[in-house]
Amino acid sequence: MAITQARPEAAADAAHGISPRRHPIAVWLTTTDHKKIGIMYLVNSYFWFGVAGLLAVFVRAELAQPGTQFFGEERYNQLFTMHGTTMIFLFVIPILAGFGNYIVPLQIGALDMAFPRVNALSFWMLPLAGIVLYSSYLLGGPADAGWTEYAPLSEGVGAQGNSIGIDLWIIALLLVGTASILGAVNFITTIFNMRAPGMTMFRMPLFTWTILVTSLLVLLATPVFTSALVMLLIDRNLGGSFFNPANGGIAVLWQNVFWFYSHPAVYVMVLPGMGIISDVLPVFSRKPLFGYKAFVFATAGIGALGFSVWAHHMFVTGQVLLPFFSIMTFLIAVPTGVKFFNWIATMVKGEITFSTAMLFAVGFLTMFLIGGIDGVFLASPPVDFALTETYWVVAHIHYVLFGGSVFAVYAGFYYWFPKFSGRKLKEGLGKLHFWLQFIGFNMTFFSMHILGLLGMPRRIQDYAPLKDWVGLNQFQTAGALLIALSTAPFLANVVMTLRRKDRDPEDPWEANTLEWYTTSPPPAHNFDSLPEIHSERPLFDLRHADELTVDPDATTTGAR
Amino acid sequence: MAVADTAALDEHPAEEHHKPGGISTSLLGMVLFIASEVMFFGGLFGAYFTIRSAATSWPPEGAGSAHLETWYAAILTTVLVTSSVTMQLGVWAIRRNDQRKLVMWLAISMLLGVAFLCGQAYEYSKLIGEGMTLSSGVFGSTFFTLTGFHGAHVAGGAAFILIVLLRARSGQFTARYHDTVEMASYYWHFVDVVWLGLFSTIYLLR
Amino acid sequence: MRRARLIGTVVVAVLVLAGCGSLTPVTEQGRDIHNLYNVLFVVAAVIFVLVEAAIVFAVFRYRRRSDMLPPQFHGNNLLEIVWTVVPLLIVATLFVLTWGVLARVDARADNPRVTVNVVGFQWQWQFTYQGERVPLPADQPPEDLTIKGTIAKPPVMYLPVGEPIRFTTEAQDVIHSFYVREFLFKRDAFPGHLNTFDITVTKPGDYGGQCTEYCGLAHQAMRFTVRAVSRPQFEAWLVKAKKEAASGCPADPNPRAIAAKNISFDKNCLAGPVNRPFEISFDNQEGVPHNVAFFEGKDADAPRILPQPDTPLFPGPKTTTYKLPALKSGSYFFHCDAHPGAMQGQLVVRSK
Repeated sequence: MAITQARPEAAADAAHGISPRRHPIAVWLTTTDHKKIGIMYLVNSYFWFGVAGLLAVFVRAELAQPGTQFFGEERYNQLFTMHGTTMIFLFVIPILAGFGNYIVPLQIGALDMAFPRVNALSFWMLPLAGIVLYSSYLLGGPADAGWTEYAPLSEGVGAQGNSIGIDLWIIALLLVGTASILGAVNFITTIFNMRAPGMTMFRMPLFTWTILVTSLLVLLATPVFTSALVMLLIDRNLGGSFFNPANGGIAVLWQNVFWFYSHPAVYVMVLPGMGIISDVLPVFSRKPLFGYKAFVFATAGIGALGFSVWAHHMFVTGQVLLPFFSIMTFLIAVPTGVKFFNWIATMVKGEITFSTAMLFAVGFLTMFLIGGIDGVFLASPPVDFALTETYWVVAHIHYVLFGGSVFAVYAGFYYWFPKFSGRKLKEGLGKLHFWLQFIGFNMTFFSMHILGLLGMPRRIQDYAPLKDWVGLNQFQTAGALLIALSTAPFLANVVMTLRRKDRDPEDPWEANTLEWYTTSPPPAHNFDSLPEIHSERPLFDLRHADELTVDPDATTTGAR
Repeated sequence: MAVADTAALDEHPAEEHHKPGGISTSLLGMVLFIASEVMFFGGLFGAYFTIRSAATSWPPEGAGSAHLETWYAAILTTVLVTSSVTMQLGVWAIRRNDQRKLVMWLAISMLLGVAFLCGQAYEYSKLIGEGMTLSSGVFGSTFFTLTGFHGAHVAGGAAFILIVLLRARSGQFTARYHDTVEMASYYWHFVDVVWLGLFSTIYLLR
Repeated sequence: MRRARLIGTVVVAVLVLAGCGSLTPVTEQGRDIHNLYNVLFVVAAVIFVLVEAAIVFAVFRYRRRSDMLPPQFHGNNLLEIVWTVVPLLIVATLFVLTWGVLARVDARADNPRVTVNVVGFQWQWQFTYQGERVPLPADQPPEDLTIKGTIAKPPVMYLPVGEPIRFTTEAQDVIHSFYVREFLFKRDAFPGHLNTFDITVTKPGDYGGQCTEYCGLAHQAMRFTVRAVSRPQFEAWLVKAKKEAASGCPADPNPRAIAAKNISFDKNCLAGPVNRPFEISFDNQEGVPHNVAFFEGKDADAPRILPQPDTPLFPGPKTTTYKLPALKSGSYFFHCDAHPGAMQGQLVVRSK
């Protein structure tokens, strides 16, 4: 082949701004290398996870006893608003995009993302958004109408008064939304156009598939949220009348536009996590993912169905078509179930090793099973009339987002840490982290199902000192402290491992997918060479080339 | 074991990476971006339809709703549609490697876009004079938000065309490499289609 | 035999768990909802136990024992079909059950004898018994019996047991939600939109309710009590309540004084004599500025009596006296200009 330029590595290195004389900070601030950007996503997101986690500890501290102990009504309302907003927009969504940034180009054998400079822009909008959001603490008080900011409350209607906090909330989320949309354009283009030769769509790793479907959701749903934020901004500051019935607006319109985005958003928050699990389970079971194509179709099905269920958040408004949204919500359980059975079938008849990544993956399965099942109750409008706006919903969302996404994020972290740094995290500390978090998490959130059944509403700073509520609240606060404690072994592990001078093997797990073919960490240009790709497990095929006859046109390998 | 040389992936700069049977990277990016913008306007249209369907009369009675002149908006529509036609003529010109014609059609398209904006500004000033503003009620809120964001997109598109025009004048585009011109045309046609939707909804269907 | 005992134990455990953390419903609708919940719970518990058992089994049984590569299964189309169709049938069944219960819960009676119009506002409730006229002098416009709460004194809604009660809910400012936990039911109260539903209470008793749509600072204080009594007791209460409403401010030893604290008045009723000037004393007990503004009609759209609109509000702790002119008998609206939704009431001028 005609190569008219110098060695591509040097060109790529130069394009990525690596030269011996540049200061590391300058390199990181101006990088367009998807790997460095991915690391920055992970670090930034984890920081906001810590901030939002601290807010949660404050919430639980206040709730341990009835009455006001630490935080009055105003402060408490700000706490739960900022906790939810930070967790969703500054932690979960970006950290999964961060994994996508680092891993997807490697998994498809590409040099970088399709639009590296836009990629950098997408990242830097996030710390900026965090600063804008939290500057509200210094400028009169943060947003305080819940992360859902229902109008007309969020428009300053009524006796609560109005602070600049909600406007800063809007601006911060406009930034996050734009970053997400640009990231989605980047991921979709990269996945469609930059796959290595032989990497057909049905040979891509599941994680890449979930990033693709997630990016389509982000692309199509986030702009609707943008329009809602814009309309709210206009109502609040320019005298608009979209959501205020006093001027001819419609209060429930906000909920409709908001949830049209925010429901697909929950799949944005969980699908890449499921992709991580789908990559991790086969490696540690030493078998292929069972039902690869079924996974792809189930993921696409969840993504598509996710657009048709938004009003199940609004069953008690009395202004939605209950049967339609109920049946569509019930239906989403089906592709999710398909995934569960395929994950279990991946483990069955395997040879399973329990690295920390695998522990978190199996933990994910149990936690998400609970979270998925308790959501089905809410799909039934009559039962929803009883359980919505109570602690049942708080249990559900935390089982799917914490038990689900956060466990999956940690699984991905332990799995790919050696790829980022060339060293495995210590297994002992990892297991301690897992068990402390598993126990603390279930202590905090399982009994919230019971609190919901006993009728305790959510978003209340103080609650009636009913015998059946107080004990559970105290127990849950203890669990929250345990969760906070569990991050200590994790952080210690990261610090200690990064200080090690020696390196682990470049493919320490005997994994299947392309990112493990190159060095750990990869060079700036990702790959010096690529293997032939004949299935969704190119490295597995390479390792067992002599045992198997490979059909170049097959989409999966198999012993013949 | 046969190995693929990654250098082969680099023969063209990323913007011009053509996959056989596929769409170029930069055009795909623009199509996806336009899809997201369509959804943004979708949210605004959804709000309009919801408010409109709940209103007993439209425009609602009262000081906040002025009378919209459909014939005037029809003129603006003609201007914008023409600019889409001239933009497409420019694209066809550069596909034939006719750089001079490209520059000409780009300039005309941009000027027509600016004319549209001026016309819109004049309509705004008239309506505001009659007491209809963003804050005068739901009709004003929905009208100015929808048309205002559309106008902002026209302005952005016109600026994009200007940049393409300047690059075209310095001879940067050929029949083989002119993806940026195609990108600008996609965006411009999108802006035009949104206007057709707005015009039909706000002025014709009412 | 052992297997049957094991299955039996599991079934009992599931049923016990189902009861765990349950409220006993006290309405017909609540009973239907509770039964549906139990069905969902049994299905959910069975699915959870089976799937979790599969996970635990896989994890223990297939721990790595050798370096041999296990057989590399890729999938099985028949299995995929089975475990798509079976869940589909399960959720379809659950949906059909849901539809049936929804029809019963949302059903409306033909002619409910009692209609309660619920209005939520920041941060309390008002219940109007539609059609239950308060006996007023002939020159007064007719009004229905209204029970209005304050944060300090939440309202008590009396309801008759055993017959359908029509509720309507709406709100004055932001979205609230009407929830009684033992009803297993809630419905939002919207500004600009009326929700309607029927409830039939089956058991007499006192049931706590509160707002379940986050509505601002004192959201958790928006509580009320439902007192379900027999029909005769309900009718007796109606008579008593109407008489109290007609007589001005029921059970208030000092209806010429009002105080403000925690962005609410301590009462929503003041009384004054007919046709002669009188004074109302106002004690603002907190630093937030308040006032009491009086109007010549039933709401703030009526002409103002006093103070003048540009009179500044004042922060407390401070007491002031409002000197009202001679007024004809009737009901005069008052509110705090700064917090009109949360702080309002009626000044009742009657000849004794």
